[in-house]
Amino acid sequence: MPTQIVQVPKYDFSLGLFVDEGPYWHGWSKWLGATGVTTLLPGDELAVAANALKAPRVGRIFTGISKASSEVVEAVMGQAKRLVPKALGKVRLPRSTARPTPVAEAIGGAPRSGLGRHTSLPMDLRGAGLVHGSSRFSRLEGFLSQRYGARVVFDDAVPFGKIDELAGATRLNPHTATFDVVAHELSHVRFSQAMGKWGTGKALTNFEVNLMESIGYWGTYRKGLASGLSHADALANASFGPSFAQSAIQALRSGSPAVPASLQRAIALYGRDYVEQALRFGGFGIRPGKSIPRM
Amino acid sequence: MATNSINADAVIREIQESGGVVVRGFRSRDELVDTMQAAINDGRKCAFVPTLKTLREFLNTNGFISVMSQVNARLENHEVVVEANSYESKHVFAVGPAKRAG
Repeated sequence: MPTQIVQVPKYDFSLGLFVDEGPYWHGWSKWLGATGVTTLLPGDELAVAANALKAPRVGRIFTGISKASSEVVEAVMGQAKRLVPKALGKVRLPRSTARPTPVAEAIGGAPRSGLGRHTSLPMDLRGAGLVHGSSRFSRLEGFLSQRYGARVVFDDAVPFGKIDELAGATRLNPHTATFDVVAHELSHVRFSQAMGKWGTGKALTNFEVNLMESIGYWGTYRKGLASGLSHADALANASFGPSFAQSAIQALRSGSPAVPASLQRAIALYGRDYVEQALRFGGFGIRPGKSIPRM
Repeated sequence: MATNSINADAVIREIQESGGVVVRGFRSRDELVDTMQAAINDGRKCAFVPTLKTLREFLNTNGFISVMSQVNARLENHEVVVEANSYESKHVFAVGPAKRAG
C-alpha cells in the first residue's frame, strides 16, 4: 500500500520545518528528503508533492533497491503525477480497464498491475487528514455501511481513530486520521464482526482486543514495508503490535475457556498462518522458537 | 528530546514516593489535562504512564509523543520532568510544578 504519499505533514513555510509530526510523518519526510528537495513553495501540501516530482534526483535515488520496492516507488510517483494535476483540475484521469474488486469499486479505484490491491486504496494529496465530503471518502463510507453496517463518526476527542464495537461505529479524528489510520480501524471492524461483537452491544474481551490489535498492527507493519518503508520505520509505525501479541499469547496460555473459541473465529477469517505471523510479529511478539498453542 | 535510557520504573516510583500522581488511563484529553494541571497546581508531580489498552489510542510512539505535546501545550506553570517517549517497555510523560527563579 503506497500510503506515504498521503501522509504529507504540515510544513511551516516561515520556519522551513515540518511542524506536524504525526505518527506516520517520518516515512514521507524520509522519502521527500531522499529526493533532494530542500526548498518548498508557499501553498498547500500539493506544493510538496509538486516539488518532489520536479526534483532532478527522483529518477536516481531508488536505484540499487529491490525490484519490488522500485515498483512500489514508481507506483507512488505515478500516483502523485496523476493526482497532483487532478487535484488542480487540469486533467481527466484515464479509467482502468481492470475489473475492480468490491473494495476498490467502493472507493473508486481499480487495481493496477504489479501491486494488486495496494494501489487501489484512496490517496489524497490535499492534506495530512481525511478530506471531508470527498467523493472517495463518501464511497468508502457507503461501502462500510453496506458491508459491515459500520458508521464513520468524526470526533475531535479521539486522538487518531478508534472503533466503538458496541455502537458499530468507527470514530476518526478529522484532523489527524489519515487513510493509514482508516485502514487500521477497518481491520478492527472486520475482526469485531468475525467475533460476532460488531454493533451487538457486546464488548470485545481482553484477549480479543489483544489479538485484534496484533492483527491490526501486523497489517500496518506489512503495508508499511510494501509502501517502501524500511523495516525500522515500518516497525515504528506499528510499534505497539509486539506488546499486544505478547499479551494475547499470555491469555492464550492461561487456559481460559473463551479464548480458544475467539482464536478459532479469527483463524476462520484470516487463516492460521496469518494469525500466527501476527502473534510472532517477525520475532518481536512471541519469541522465535517458542510455540503457539495448537487449538 | 530526552534519551530513552532513563529507568522508567525508577522515575515512576520516585514520583509516587514524593506524593505525586500516576495516571494510567483517561476518558478524554480534557480529563487528562485537568488531572495533570490539578497535580501541578497542588505542587505535585504527575506522570502519565498509559496501560497497553490506553496506549492503543495513540497508534504508535510517534502518536503518543504528538498527542502529549498537545497536552503539554495546554498545561500552565509547569515543567516537563520526563519527555513523552517510550522508555524501555513503558511510555511515559511526566510533568511537575515550574521551579521558581531564586
